[in-house]
Amino acid sequence: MTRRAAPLLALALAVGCANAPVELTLRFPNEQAFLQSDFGRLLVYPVDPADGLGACPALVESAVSGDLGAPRYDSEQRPICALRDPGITFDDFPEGPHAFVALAYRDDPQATLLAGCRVAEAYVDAPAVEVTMFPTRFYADAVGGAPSPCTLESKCNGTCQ
Amino acid sequence: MSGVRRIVGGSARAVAIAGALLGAWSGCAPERTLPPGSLDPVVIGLATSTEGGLRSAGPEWLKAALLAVNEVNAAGGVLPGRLIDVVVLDDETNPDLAEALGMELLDAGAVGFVGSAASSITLGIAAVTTPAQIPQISCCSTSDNITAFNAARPPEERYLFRTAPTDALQARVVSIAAQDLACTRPAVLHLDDAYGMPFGEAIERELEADGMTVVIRVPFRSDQASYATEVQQVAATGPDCVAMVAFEVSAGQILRDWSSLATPPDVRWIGTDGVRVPGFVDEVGDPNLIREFYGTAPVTDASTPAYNAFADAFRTVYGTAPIPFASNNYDAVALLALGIARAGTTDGPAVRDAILEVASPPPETGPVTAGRLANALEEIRAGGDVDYQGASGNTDIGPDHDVVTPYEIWRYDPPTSTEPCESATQLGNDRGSFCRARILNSMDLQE
Repeated sequence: MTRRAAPLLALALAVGCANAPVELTLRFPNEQAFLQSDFGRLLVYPVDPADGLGACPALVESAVSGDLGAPRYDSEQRPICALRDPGITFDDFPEGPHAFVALAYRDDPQATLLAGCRVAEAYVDAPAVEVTMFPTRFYADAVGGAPSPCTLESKCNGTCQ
Repeated sequence: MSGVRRIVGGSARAVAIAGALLGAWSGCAPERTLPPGSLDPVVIGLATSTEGGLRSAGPEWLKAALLAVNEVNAAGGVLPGRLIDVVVLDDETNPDLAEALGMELLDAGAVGFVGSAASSITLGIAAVTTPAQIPQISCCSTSDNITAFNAARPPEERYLFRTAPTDALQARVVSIAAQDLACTRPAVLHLDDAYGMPFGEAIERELEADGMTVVIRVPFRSDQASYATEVQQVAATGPDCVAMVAFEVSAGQILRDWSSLATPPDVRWIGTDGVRVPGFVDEVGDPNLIREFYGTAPVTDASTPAYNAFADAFRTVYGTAPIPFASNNYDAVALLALGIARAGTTDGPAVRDAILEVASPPPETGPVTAGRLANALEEIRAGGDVDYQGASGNTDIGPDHDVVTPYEIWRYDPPTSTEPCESATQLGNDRGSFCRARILNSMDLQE
């Protein structure tokens, strides 16, 4: 631990109060849905504890329609393999509830294949945030029923064409 | 790039440990800001049957229920920030387990229940859930006894729903099928439980009302090793048709026993929804034993946008097509979830009232469909009522909590069949197909 954690600890001490790390795991519908996806994107939105805990449906509907609003964090598009197990850690996270939105798509970001959202808050020793991904209305047309020729290994080591 | 980064193995641990150390040292690490329980899951019960007469269909229906659960959870959950957590109960198609399963639901803290499929089990569980004010929605229980169960209670004490229509209508369809097949001396062979008894009696009434002479009506127990006695009773009366109310296991045994008779009478068979499943063909064994076997069933796979959205999602997630009544089980979970969302609470009476609101028109904000549950939740969170359009068809719930949908008359075609068919459900694994021979509008049946 010490060699890796020491710089982080020193940095945190230097800036004063700490933020909590948040571990995020994406739960894909199945392996095939993962293989059909090429890119993923994570967005985090602050939500009002009083009336914002139910923000997910609107955020998902908007995001699938291409309106990403004003997220606090945006991972931008990144290879889907970079988002699989053991997941993502946000290491600089402020207090309070947030909505974690995850999207997966092929080369066309306008046609989202999978989407999911979960409200959670970051605090010390909080459990990992698991986001369930579900096929969008675009999935069937975009994929067309043909199975991916890739395996998990070949897709993520770049040997699958 | 943003403040997102991927950390693996020791690095993730390092960050976590560093964060914890820092929090302990500085005293200003992030703390929970929400009251305890704010994001706790909402527990609902789901039924399946891995044994007995519905052992092949039960797991497929459970998949459809879990599909709806995952769709809701991918939209952030059923109540603000609160996911659905499920407790799965295996009823083994055994009515004797019903009361214990109902008690398990209460112990698990379930606020709603989707199940069971067999009417006798649904009613046994409802005897526990209804007094406890826990809404219960069955996908597939079609017994008229369920209508009677609700009718015996004032509206405010009715917590049992279903997304399949009553057999009182299907009995009418059986009689129409018998007329199509030119039957004049039909026999009726049926299960002796809460599903089969009222259904068999209703079929007898409808056949007689349509001018046919019912030569015998024989009730039988489920899951017997042999039905030789029953089929001999039927055969001795010389019927020209046999209407059978059974599930796949007992139906398969009956057909094998019939074929084992020394000189089985030449009859036309008419089954019902309980055998329109691939497992029926497996149980019969030889597909040629059921060549030209006809049957009736509610239409649960109409080519509507709602059904297609459900079926697309089912195939995407599970890689196979949904079986009959899978759409009804998806709808049952959807209605329960949207009811909880609309109520804004897990309080039983409030959820019960909200289920009626989301199931039926008129909506304040327009209809929402199966496969678009995030959209439905968004509308509800915005304060609107919705009218849920089910994958299985009309989910408008009537006064006795019944729904009304169209019916089909189907025919089994073995793999070698050359019979033309415009709309066939292929069963896979060289098992042949169910052909949709005729559709009947249920509103016409009520007149």
